[in-house]
Amino acid sequence: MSPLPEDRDELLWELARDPLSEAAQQYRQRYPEDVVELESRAAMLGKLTAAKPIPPAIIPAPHVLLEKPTPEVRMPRWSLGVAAALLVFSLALGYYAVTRPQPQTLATDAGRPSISATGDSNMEGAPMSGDRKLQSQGMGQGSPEGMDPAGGTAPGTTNQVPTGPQPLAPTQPADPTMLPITIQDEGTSLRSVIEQIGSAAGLDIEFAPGFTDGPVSVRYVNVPAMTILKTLGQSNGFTPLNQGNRKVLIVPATDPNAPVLQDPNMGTGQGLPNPGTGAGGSLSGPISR
Amino acid sequence: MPTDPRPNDETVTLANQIPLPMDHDTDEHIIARVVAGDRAAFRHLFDRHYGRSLSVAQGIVLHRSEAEDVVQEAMTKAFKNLTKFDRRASFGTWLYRIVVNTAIQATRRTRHDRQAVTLEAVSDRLTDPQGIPQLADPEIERAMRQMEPEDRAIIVMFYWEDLSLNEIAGAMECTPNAAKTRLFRARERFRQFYQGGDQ
Repeated sequence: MSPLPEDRDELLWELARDPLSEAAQQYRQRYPEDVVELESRAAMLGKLTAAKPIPPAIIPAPHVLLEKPTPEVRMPRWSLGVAAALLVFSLALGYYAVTRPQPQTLATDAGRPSISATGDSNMEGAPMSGDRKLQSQGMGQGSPEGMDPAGGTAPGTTNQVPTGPQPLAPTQPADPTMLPITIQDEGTSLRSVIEQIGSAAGLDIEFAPGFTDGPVSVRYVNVPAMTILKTLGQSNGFTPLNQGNRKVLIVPATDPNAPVLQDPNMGTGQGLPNPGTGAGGSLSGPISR
Repeated sequence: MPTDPRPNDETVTLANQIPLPMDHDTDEHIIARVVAGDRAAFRHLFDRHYGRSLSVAQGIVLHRSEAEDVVQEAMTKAFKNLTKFDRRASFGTWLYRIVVNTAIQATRRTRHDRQAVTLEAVSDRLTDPQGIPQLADPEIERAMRQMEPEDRAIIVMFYWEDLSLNEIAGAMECTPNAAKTRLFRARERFRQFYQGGDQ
């Protein structure tokens, strides 16, 4: 069978959809040679349309309506700008905290004690080797073996201030007597050392009559001023009395009833040497006079 | 005694509370209500177009339950994109486009999955209950299965749903002339598969 012209082929498909129509009857009469083709197509399309699925008797619920509606949360555009500004501000604050200038360190010439007052609470004390060693002064009496936080050390041990993890202190303590300072010197007069401590901590030091001066060697790193004074007083026969309002009175006697040191860096202060012995037990090491 | 034709306040209040019968609303009215926030109104659109959508989907994927999933997925897409409906065509045409595309994607996904199965799995599938005929006429179903899903889609829309070439063009995203050409080719392929048996 030769292929049908396109228009007749299209017409034949249309008539095959309804082969009983009057148009189909007329086509059969006009083109009897296409009757077989028309019947074939009509049968095929009849089966095709009959194969259409039966629509469901029950229509299910749309799933989209069964879902719980989630409200759309749209952040306003300005909130993005605020968040960016906060981020930049926090970054700048962090940068400033890292790179801010440290408190001034008073570096001294050779022969002058080095004193500095810092906000850094990391205390690193090392014994200062002076003219006399604590162990040679018999300072181990009454002290436990090993390091005595307020006095000397046992023979053969290194005299060091504890360097373990220390609690952070505020950068500017409210009490100026607790301002950690660093001082290092050898063979300087005790009065000069006390004055320099007071100067570094911003204290007004007054010496009571009868104060006995003498050469000492000290090295304290980031130790509160009052602690240094008390430690020096224990070993050099004076007592620092905090008068308040930044005033400290140096009394030339050791108060046996003085309160126990409460500095968390210092331990309990138990085992302090007897000041009457003239021994120079101190936090940071031997004091020689 | 003459009665006051004006409704009293109570009648007006009740009339405002009872929703209007949606069956008389046009698709556009219902869409406007859905877009305005009345989610429940979408149920009327769903009911109105579910049957034809399911028929088209089943003609393409040739599986009833799979077709139901396709229609649900297409309806969800339509619901979520209802604000993008530009009304250039009818909602039905727009929905059929979504249904056809979703069904074709599902068919390709299923075909891809079946290509990845092992011979043992194929052997099991031959005895699987899924092998039950999905259409009333097994010869029609056999011919349809040999066709590409795009060809099945156009045959189904034209002969099952009696869509015009313009509507098919809208659903297939082509011109009416292109839809006519596609219908002609799809019909010839169907006849070849129908008369020729398994290829």
